[in-house]
Amino acid sequence: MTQAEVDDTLKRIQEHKGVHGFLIINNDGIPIRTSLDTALSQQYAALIKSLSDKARSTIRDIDPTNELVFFRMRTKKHEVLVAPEKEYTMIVLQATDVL
Amino acid sequence: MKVLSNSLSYCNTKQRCYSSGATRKTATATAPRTTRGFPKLIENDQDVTPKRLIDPEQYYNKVKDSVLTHDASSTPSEIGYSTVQPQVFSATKSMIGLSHGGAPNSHGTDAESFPSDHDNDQLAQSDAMHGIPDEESLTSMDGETPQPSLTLSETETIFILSMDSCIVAEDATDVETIKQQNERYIELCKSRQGSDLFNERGMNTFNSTVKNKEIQCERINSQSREAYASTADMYDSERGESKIILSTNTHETQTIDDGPLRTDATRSVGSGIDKSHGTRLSDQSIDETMRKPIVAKTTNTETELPETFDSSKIATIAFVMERILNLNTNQGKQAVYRGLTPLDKEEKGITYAGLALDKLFAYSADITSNKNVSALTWNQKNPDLLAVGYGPFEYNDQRDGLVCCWSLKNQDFPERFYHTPCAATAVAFSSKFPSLLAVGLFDGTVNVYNVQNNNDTPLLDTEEVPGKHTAPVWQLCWLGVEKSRDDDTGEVLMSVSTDGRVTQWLLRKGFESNDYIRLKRILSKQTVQRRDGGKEQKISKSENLLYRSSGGLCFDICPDDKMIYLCGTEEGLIHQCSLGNNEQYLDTYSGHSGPIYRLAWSPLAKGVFLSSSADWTVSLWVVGRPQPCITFASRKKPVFDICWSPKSATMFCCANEEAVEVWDISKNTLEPVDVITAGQQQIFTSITYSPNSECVLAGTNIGAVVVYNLKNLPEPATVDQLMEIIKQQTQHLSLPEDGTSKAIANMKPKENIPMTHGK
Repeated sequence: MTQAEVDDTLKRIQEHKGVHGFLIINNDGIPIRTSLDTALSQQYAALIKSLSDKARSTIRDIDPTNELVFFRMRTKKHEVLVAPEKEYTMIVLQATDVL
Repeated sequence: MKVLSNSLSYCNTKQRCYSSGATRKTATATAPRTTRGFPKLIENDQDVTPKRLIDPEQYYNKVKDSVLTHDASSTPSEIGYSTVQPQVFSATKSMIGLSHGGAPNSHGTDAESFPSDHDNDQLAQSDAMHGIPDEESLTSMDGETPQPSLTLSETETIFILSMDSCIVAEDATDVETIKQQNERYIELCKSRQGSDLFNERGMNTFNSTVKNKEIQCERINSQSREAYASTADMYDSERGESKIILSTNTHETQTIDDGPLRTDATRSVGSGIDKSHGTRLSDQSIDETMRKPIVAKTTNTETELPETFDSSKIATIAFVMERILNLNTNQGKQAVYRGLTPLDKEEKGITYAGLALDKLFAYSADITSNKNVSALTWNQKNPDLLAVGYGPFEYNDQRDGLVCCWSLKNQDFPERFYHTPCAATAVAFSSKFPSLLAVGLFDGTVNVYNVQNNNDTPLLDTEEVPGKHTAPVWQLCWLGVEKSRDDDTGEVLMSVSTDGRVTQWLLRKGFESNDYIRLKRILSKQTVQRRDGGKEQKISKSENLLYRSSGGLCFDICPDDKMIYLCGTEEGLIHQCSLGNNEQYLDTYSGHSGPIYRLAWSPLAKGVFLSSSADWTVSLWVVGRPQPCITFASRKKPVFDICWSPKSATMFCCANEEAVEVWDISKNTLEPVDVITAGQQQIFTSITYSPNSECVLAGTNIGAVVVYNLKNLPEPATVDQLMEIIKQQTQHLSLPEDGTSKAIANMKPKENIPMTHGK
C-alpha cells in the first residue's frame, strides 16, 4: 500500500464508530503518531509495549515458529486493540458499548 | 643397600646457592642406581619389555645438565632472597653456611653420609631452571632496578624418601627371595609396636621467620552480565536473527567508585527520551521483555528525533486494525451472514412470520456514493469477495466508472477499487485464474484487471484490438475451453454487446477475438410460422448478405450443455444458439415485448430458464416450448435483474426499480412471497444470491449494495416440484396450432391477469 492509502486507512480508523483514539509507537516505546493527549500516550506506550512484548514472548516460547499478530483487551470502559509488528505497534481504543 | 650418591633433594628456591649447590657428584651421578632393573621380556625375538612412562635416567641427565650450567653463574647476591621457605632438612641446612659460592663437593660429602635410600623424582624442575636466567640478567644491571616480574609458583614437592614398588614377573629368578623379603617386612611392621628396636619420637621442624608484607592494588571491577534466553531466542539465534542485546555500558564520565550502580526499572524503558543529566548504567539482568532498553545516550545525542515516519511501513497493521474494528462494530451482522448465532442476543422487536428479508448491512463508501450499481459478481475462489461495477445504464449521464471489490470483513471501504474511463456495465471473475477480473465498459472496451494489486491500469484491454465492441458490453462470462495451442490459457472470455455480436476473446499476447455469432434481427412471427411447418428455416427478409443486427443484452450458458447458450436481444427475443454454429440460431423464444435484461438458466432444473425484461415481466421458459410457461409480473417497472436461488428449485429473486422481490413458485405464482420496497431515493438495479450464505445482495443506484438476510426459509423445493408446477401451468396453455395470432391471443390474456392482481 502506498503512503497515501495507508493515511486514508488511518483516517478511516480514527473516524470509525466508537474509536476514542489511536497510537502508533516504535520499538523503543516512543509514540510516533497519536490522537490522544501526550501524557496518556506516553502511559499507554510504555505499558502496552511491555505487555505486548510479554505476550509475544509467551507465544514464541511455546512455539518459536509462531508469531503474535493481534491481541485485544476488553475492559469495562473500553477495548484496547493492539497490533504489534516488527518495527511499529498500533494501539486503538474503542468504546465497548458501540455494539 | 647402597647409598645413593645422587642428589638428595632439590630445593627449588630462588636461592642460587641451593640450585647450584644441590648437585651431586657429577660423573657418578647417574651410574650406580640400585633400582631394580626390569626383567626384559622377549617375545618372538622382539623386545617387548614395557617401558616406564617417565624414564628417570633421562630425566636426571637433563636436570643435571641444566644445573651444572648454573654453577658458574651463581652470584653472591642470590643469597639475599629470603622469602621462600624451603623444606630443608638438617643436612642441607649446613649447606647454607657453607655455600657461599657453592662448593659442590662439600655438599656431596654431606650427602653421602645420609644413610637411606633416595630416589628423586623431580618433575617440574626444568621450568624453574629456565626461569632463572631472566632474573639474573635483570638483577645484574646497575642503576635503576627495573621491576622484575615475579612469577610465584608452588614449590615442588621434595621427596625425602621414595621407594617405588617394583613389579616382578612370577617367573623371575629371585621370586623366592623377594617373597621372603616381603614377608619379613610385614612381620617387622607388625612387631614394631612393642619392640625394643623402635622408639617413637616426635620431631620438630624449624619454622623460619615470617615476614608480612602488604600490597595494594587498584580495585578490580567486576560486572556481571546476564542475558535470558527464552525458547524463542534460541530459535532465533539459530537462524541468525537473534535480537538479544546485552545492555552496553556507555558511561564515559562516571568513575567506578561512584556509589552503587543504578538500575533501571522497567518503567523507565518507556519513559520516552531520556533527558537526565549524567548517564545511566543499564540494568544487569535482561530478558526478552527488556530486550532493547534504551541505551543511555550521552548528553549530546539525547534528543535525536526519530526519522520521518513512513506510513507505508504500518500498512499491514493498519489493514488488520481496520478489519478488527469492523468486526467489533459489526460482529452481529457478520455472524448472521455466516449463519452463526451472534454474540449478543438482542431481542429483536420484529419477528418474522414466513419468509422475510431482513436488512443486514450495506457495502457503501464515499467513493461509491451516487454511483449506479450495474453489475455484481462473486469471486470463484473466495466466496466472500464481491466485485461490483458502477456506472449508469443510460448514455446521457456518462461519468467515470468504478469497479470495486468488497470483502465481508470490511463493509466501509472496498478492498480494491479501480477507476475506469467510462461506466462499467459488466464484471466477471475468471474461474481458472481467480485473481483476474474482466470488466466491460460502456464504450465497448473490455478490461482485465488483476485484483492482487490496486493498480488502476488494467492488465489487458481491448482498446486497440480490431475486434473491439463498438457498443456497451452488457455481459461477460469466462468459459473454460480446450487448449487449441500451447500458449492458450484454457479459458476464453465471452461477451455480448449492443452492436449485435457475441464475441469470444482469447487471451494470448493481447486479446484476440472471434465472433460466436452475429445477432441477426428476425421477425418473431415468421419464426413461429416456420416452426409449424416442421422445418426450421429462418428464411426471412433478413436472410441476405445485408441484415439488420439486433443488439444483444444478455446471455447465459446452459449449465448442462456448455455448447448451448441463450442470448437475449433488444427486441425481446431469446435466441438459443450453439457455440459451434455461428450462422444460425438453434431456436428462438418470443414472448417478451421489451428488451430482455437478464437470462438465467435454473441451476437445478434442466432446461428451465427465466428471463426478465423491461416489459415489467419475468418469464419462465422450458426448452422446446416457444412460449413462456409462466409469467410473473407484479409491478409496473422494468425488471433489471433476476437470480435463481442456488438451493431451492422454485425460488428466485428479482430486482425491479422499486423493489426487491422474492418469488416462490411453489407458493404463489401471482405474487412474490416477500418484497422489500426501495426508499424514495434509491432504486434497485441488480441482484445476486450469496454463494455461501442465506443472503441476497441488491445493488442500488446510490452506490450501495445492500445485504438482506433471508429469514425463515422453507424447505428447499426440489426439481420435481418445479417440473410439476410447470406442467400444471402449461396445461393451461395449448400449443399454438395455427398462426401467431392465436399465440399472441393466448399470451395477452395471461399477461393481463397478473396485472390486475399485482400491486
